[in-house]
Amino acid sequence: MFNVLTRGKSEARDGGQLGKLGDGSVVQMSARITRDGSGETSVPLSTERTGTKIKKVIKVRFKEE
Amino acid sequence: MFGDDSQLFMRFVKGRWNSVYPWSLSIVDCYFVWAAFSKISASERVLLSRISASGKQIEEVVIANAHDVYEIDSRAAGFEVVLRHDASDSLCYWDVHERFVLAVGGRDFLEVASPYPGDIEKHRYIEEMMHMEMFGVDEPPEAIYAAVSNRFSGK
Repeated sequence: MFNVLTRGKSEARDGGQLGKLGDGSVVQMSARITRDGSGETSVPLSTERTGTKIKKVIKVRFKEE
Repeated sequence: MFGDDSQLFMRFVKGRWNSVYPWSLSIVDCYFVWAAFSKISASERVLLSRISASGKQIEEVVIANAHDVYEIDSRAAGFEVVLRHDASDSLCYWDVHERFVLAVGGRDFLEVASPYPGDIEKHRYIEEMMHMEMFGVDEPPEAIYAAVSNRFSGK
C-alpha cells in the first residue's frame, strides 16, 4: 500500500517508512503493539497550509483483528 | 504504565525529572522547548541528536527556532523519538502511542521548557487529552499523567 501511495518514492526511517505523495504531501507509516497485544499501523498524511508552516494532518489507523 | 519499558524510555526518561505535554506539541510548546534548549546550550542555534528506531537511528539536527521543533514534532507521529542535547543530557521524548511528550532534564532546562506550576501543567494535559478516550485509549489522562509525571522538586 505504501509503495502505491508514494509510487515507490519512500525511504526506511525511524523503524517505519517516510515518503511523499504526488501533491507533495508527506506520508509516514509506523507499526506498534498496543496495550491489548494486538498490532496497529498508523499512516498520517500531512500538508502545509498554503503560505504558512501550519500542518494539516489526516491520520489512518489499521488495527489487526 | 504500559510502554514504559521501551529501550529509549528506560535509557533516557525513567527516573528523571520531567515536564509533561499533551501529544502533540503546540507551536507555543515548541517555542518553550526551543528556548529551553537555547538556554542550556547558550546559543540560538542548537545542535541536537535525534534518536529513533530504539536507538538504531541517530542523526544530528539543528534547531534555530520554534518552527524547527514543530517540524520534528510533526514527523514524530507514530514513532518513539528522543531529541537530545548531548552535553547536558536535556531532551524531549515523544511517546510511540501518542499519549504524551516529555521534556526531561534539570531545573535550568525544565523551568524554561514548561514555565507553569504543576497544577496548571496537569490541568492542561488532562483537558487536552480527554478526547483520546473516544479513540480507544483505555487509560484516562489522569492515570497517564500520574504514571509519567515527575516534576522537578529540588532547590
